[in-house]
Parts: sequence; C-alpha cells; structure tokens
Amino acid sequence: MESYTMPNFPESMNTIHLALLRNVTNSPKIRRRLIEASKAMGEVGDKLREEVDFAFLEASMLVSRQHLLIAILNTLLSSLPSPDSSSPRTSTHNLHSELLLHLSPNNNITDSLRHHGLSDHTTSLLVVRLGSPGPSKEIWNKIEHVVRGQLVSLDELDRGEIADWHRVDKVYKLKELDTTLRKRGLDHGEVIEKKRGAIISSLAIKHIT
Amino acid sequence: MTWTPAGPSNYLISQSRLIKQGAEARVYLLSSLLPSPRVYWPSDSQASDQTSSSQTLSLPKHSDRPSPFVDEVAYNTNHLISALPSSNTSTNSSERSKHKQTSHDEGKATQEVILKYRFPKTYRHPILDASLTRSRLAAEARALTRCAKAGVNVPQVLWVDEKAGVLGLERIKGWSVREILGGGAEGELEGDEEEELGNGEEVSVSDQIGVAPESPSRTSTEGTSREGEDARMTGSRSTESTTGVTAMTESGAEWENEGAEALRKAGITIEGLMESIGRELGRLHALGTVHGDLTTSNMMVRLTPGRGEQYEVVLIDFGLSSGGTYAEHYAVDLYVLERAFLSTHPSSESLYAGVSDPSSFNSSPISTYQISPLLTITFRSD
Repeated sequence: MESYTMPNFPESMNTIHLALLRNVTNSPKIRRRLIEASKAMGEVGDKLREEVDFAFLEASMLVSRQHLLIAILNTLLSSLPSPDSSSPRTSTHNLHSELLLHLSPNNNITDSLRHHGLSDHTTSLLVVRLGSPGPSKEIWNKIEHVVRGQLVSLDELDRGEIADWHRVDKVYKLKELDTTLRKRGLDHGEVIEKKRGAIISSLAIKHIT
Repeated sequence: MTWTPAGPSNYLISQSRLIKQGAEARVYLLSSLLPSPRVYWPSDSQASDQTSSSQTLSLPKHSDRPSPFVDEVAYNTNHLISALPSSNTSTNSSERSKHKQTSHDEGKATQEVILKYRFPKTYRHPILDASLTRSRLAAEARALTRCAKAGVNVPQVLWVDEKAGVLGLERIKGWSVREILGGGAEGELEGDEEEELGNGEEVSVSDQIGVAPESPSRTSTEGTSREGEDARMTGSRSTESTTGVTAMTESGAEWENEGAEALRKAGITIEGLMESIGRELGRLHALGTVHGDLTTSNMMVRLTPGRGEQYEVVLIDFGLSSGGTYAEHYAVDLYVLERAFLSTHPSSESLYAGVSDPSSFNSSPISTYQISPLLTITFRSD
C-alpha cells in the first residue's frame, strides 16, 4: 500500500492512499454494499458510506502506475475548492466518483462507473482513498474489512499483466493508433508504451476539454 | 520582478530549477510531481511469503529531494522492509530486473517533469492576458494530445493547471538536434538544458550568434499565428546574415558533443537522422497540424536501445502550433525549419535537403501538394 501526502494541496484533499489487490473474491458483495450505502438514509447511511468511502477502480483498465497517478493529480487539481469554501468543487458527488469520471474519455458518469468502476467480475481492484492525512494502517484496516483479496505492490500495474488491453483500446479508442504503430513496424512493447503515453496525455487534458 | 503562479503549481515551481527564460514562458525542470510515497505493508497480509533478497526491488525509487513528511511517518522502516510482499521467488526478481532495463520509464512515480509557466505579461490588459494565457495553454496541451493519439512522437502531458498558466510535460531524455549538429557558439554550454520547451527560441538563437534579440517580433506574435510565423521568418532571415560560427565541417560533420557521440556509437548517421526528422514532420502534417516553431532545438533525439531504429525523433514546444488550413501553412512550417537550419547550422544546406526529401514524406498525403507552395515561398522571400 502506498500513501502520498502533497504539501501543495489543501489539507482536506492532500493525501492519496492506494492499495492494489489481486485475486479479489467478493466483488459482487462489495458492489451490493456500495449500492446499499448510497441508498441508506440518516446516521446509519452515513456510517455505511464512511465504511466504503473509497474509489474502487477496475484495475484491468489501468495501464500503468503513472496512468493512475496522473488521473488522480488532475482530478484533485480540477476539483480545488473555491476560495470561500473548503469542500472540493466536483461535478459528481465526491472526489472518488470524480476520479472515475476523470479516468473516463467522455463526460458520462454512468459510462465511467461501468468502465472504470468495480463490477461483479472484478478480480483486480485498485482501492483509492483521497482526503486528509492519516495513518495508512487505519486506511488499510478499513479496506481489509471490505475487500477479500491479496495486497500486492503497485509495481504490478507497470508489469503489464493486469491491464486488459482489448478493453482499454475500446474504451479509449486506441485501435487506430494501435494499427498505425504496428504498421510502422514497432514491436509490442513500443506499441504499449506509446498507447500508455496517449492515454496519459488525454487524461491530463480532460478538465480543459 | 518574478511572478509565481497561484495554487498547487506554485509549490512545484519552487521545487524546480529554471532552465529557460523565454519572452512568453519560463521553463522549469522538476524531479517529480509527487513526493516519494510512504509504503505500508500489513504484517499479517496474506502476501507475506517473501524472500529477503528481492525485496528492495519493490521499494519505490526515492527522489533526492528530502521528503517533507518524514515526521508524519510513524512506521518503522525495518518493519516495512521485512513486511514487503509477495510472489518474489528469485526467478521473478530476475524477470523484474530484466523488465527494468528494457522499459526506460519505469519508476514513474518519480518521473522528471518539465513545467512551462506562462507568466502574466504586464504590457497587456490583465483580462486579455489571462484569456490569452489560458487559450494558449489549452491549445498547446490539446495539440500534444492530438499528436500522441495519432502516433507522432511528442512529450506526454502530465499536469494542466489552466488557472495558474502552468503546463507539466514529460521530460525527454536525450539531446536536441541542434546540440547534435553542434549548432551555435554556446552549444556546449547550454548542453543539458536543451530540453527547453520555451517559446522564446528565436531570442536564444540570436543570443547564441550574437545579434540583438528579436523581442519586437516576439511581441508581434500576439496577433494571429500567421503573423507570428511571418515575424519568425523575418527573425530567422536577419540572424542568418550574421552567422559566422560553425562547429561543423561540410558533409562529414564533426561529431564532437555528447549527443552526437552517443548517436555515432549507436550507428546512426546524420543523413539517417535527417530522414527521420522528415518522417516525423510528415506524420505531424498528415494530421493537419502545423508546428509553428520548427527549429533544430525543438526536436529531440531519444535513444531507444534495442528497438526499431535505436532512436526516435521527438517534437517539442507546440506553443505556436495551429491547424493548417492551406497547403501554404505547412509550407511556411518547412520554410521556417529551412531558415532555422541555415542560420543555426551554416553549411547545412545539404542536411536540410535530407529533411525535405519527398521520400521522407512517403507515408503522408502531403508529399504531392506541399512541395510546390514551398518552392513559391522560397522564391518570394529571395
């Protein structure tokens, strides 16, 4: 599990906790829990929501660690609170859903949940917590209560075993680029590198398009 | 008087090193957008069947900048190391180190970043200034993304802070074509700072060959991009006449700098390099994009050992780029490059011929219509 605390963001949103889990066995259950939490009212609802206050990302749609980090950074940057308020300015409910939306190539929230969020078939899951500084141990304890899976290093994202390129190409519309590059005679590794670059650039400019 | 951007970008700039001061923007080099992460591994994780030999490989690389968060970290480092995860049999670790060698941008958490800060211009009305800065920053970021999606080699866009006027771009590790050709009297001195993405290139060109900087012409780029290009041409032309310095001999070209040396070792010829530049420009133009500021210092050469041609040409600084509507726009682009070649690298006429050789443009549809307007423009200028 990795945690970043950035001195250049307001304290309410300056910390990123990241945990990559593989061989996740209880995705359908987590998803049900998320839906329940969003429906519940009153104090009970608040408590349920607090327990699952994370972004649950489908890790097979993440092509590198950089992909994830750049998406997070630019989400935070574009959600900076206005001077007279302390809560992030987002177009969705909270920073976590904003991250999902930012990862998506278009501005459709349902699409972003479907493509980048947890599904019943998710086996590799990236759990993100954006917020104020706190000990990683506490965050991990919360994650552990929700997700059944094996915690692995984020380096696994860069090793290219997790990404489902077929789906990535489709969602980010990279088939044309793929064909162009292969025609040019680039080997598989190079093609992947270029596609990673293209994805990162298009994410980084998401909030100005 | 030094301007600093507002918000999160301010801190980033304070942590970075100024590498280029242009009339439009300042360019900084930053070691990483993010601080080094704190790594936490629960000791009772299911993933605890590790061997000690390969554990250090999993530790994220640390930037040399001291982390400001040390005091918050209550975890015992020894504990962290002993509790590192997972799946690291010795075969795995050797696989991983092999992977590290082939993938040159591993350890992306600490990837170096170029920050381009378009500072406020006091000679403009503040409202106009803010709007121009925003639209130019956005245009540059979009042009880079469009190129990346079409397979043109350009730096990745990593950080877009529209409000502050700061753009964060991937740092291309390599040398500019200008350095490699040994252009400019101060070529050596500028050395590793050539990754510049600044807009004031012509200022530095003039500096190098000892004529007055062209700030008036730079100011005139406030108008349409067309105007900018015209101003650019005038600039190049006036500098060309005063060039007297060359580090290059006729066709053989002395390979005397670090970049040229590295290229020679990799078996790359100048002629081959020129053709690659032409190919890359062909791809750019085929996309319907005009660079607007093609000079030899806006092209980087990055070595990609063990892959394809062993190197690639990367185009940088899209601050003046625009969509090209007429064939003439592309021709102006090439004309600017020709002038840049002649002024920065006298006796390089034969080299530019390599770039503009129609065979370089084979892959793009422009080969047929581009060459004739180019000839017209060349004719008009003489």
